[in-house]
Amino acid sequence: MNTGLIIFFALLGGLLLWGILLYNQLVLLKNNAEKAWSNMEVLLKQRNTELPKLIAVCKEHMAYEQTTLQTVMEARNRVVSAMQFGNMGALEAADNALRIGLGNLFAVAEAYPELKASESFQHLRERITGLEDSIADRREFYNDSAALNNTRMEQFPDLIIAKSFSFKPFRLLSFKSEEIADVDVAAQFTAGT
Amino acid sequence: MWMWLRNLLPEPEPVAPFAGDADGINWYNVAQNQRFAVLRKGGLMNLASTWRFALFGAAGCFLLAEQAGREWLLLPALGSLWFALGLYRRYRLIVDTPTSRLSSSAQGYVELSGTAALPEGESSRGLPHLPVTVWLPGYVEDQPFLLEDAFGRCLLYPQEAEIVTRTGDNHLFLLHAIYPGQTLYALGELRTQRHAHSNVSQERRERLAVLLADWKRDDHTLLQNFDADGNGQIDPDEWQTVLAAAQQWVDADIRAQQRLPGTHVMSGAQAGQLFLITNIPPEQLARRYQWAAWLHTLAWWGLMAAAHIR
Repeated sequence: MNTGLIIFFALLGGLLLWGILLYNQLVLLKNNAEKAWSNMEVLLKQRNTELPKLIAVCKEHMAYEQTTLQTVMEARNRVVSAMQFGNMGALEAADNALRIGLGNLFAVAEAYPELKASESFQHLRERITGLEDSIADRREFYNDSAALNNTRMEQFPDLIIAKSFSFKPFRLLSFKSEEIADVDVAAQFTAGT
Repeated sequence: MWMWLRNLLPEPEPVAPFAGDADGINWYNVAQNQRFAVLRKGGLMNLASTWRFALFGAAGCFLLAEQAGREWLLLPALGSLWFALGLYRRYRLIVDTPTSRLSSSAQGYVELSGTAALPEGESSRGLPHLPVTVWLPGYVEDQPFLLEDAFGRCLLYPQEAEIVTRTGDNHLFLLHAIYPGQTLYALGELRTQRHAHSNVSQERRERLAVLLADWKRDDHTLLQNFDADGNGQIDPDEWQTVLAAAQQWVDADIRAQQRLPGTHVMSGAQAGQLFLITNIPPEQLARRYQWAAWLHTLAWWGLMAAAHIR
């Protein structure tokens, strides 16, 4: 066979192999982002399971704080529903509301010494706080995975393969402005005076 | 991919540490053992990313063209294409895998970054008269070691790993090793092993039987604690109390075990993915792979052109 023809086929083969490699890498990035999402979902489900137990313990002692308890439960139900329908936007909003509600609940609980002393309450509070920290970590990990996937999809030549095979970008989970704002420590000290 | 290479290369010979130089180490033996071990554990792709490989490769191609004819250069060209694709894949894997913190330990294919440490209860590993190492090619290759970050620790099982190390740490300029406290980077499948919840009832029964047998062996203590009427024997109703106490003890212990944090383990990667452990900063290693991939691509084109031009 003519050497020129061999070289032509070798170049074509090399290009094809490179295309396959890029495609496989995009699949890997997509799977990594999906896995990162399911990693976070596991913890969200665990937190959703623990919350009714916390509310039940709080209800025994916090007779006059029904609104706070109700807010937490409503936000929790919204998180469950958003997870069921896979609605990221709704989940983001509900999760933010839930975290704010939980923060209020733990703050109000300080005024109930019996509740604070309760072993079940302490255990649940530690468990939920621990889950919250892990969720924050995994949310960051998910955002990293999603950003890596989205960046590759917009780069050339990966863009051609991503468009040809209809790869979809992942939505990043954003933080609420209250969460990333600087904490005014001085105001916290002077608030009660 | 490089398993055949592992089988081909000789296993490390037993070291004779005290039959040699003034410091008690036969450095020739050590260098011989390390040379093959570094290649065996590092794999062919790492070898293909070194300058030495490029020099020997160029010399080999020249000889091939001179002795067998230019058209035979298509064979090394094919090899260069294979190395270019493999090295590019590695570069992208390092750059595109997010770092997981051990506090939340996201499961799956992740990158970990931390410091190397010996497993608990072990204070020394490696060759005598040399600094303690956690991994030393040619000598300590398969024993697990720890990667610690600010939030936790992960046990790395290096049997299936591709391990890339540098020389020159601890002023030992020829020795390839990973030392405790060194920054370590691992890319692989992370899983967390927790206390199994599925067989709790069976475990409870078994542990209860073992505990009761244990208590029965110590008659004196059993009577002291549970012989309420003081008649010198355990009556049926007193036995019920013993049983309840043992059940309570076992239940509390199982609950405590379930509350313990899981053990993070990295021992491989899914089929086709890279399981890499290295003490070279990932950015530096990624850059090396990227450059090597480009050079092999150039070599592929160059060799094909050389095969064609008369």
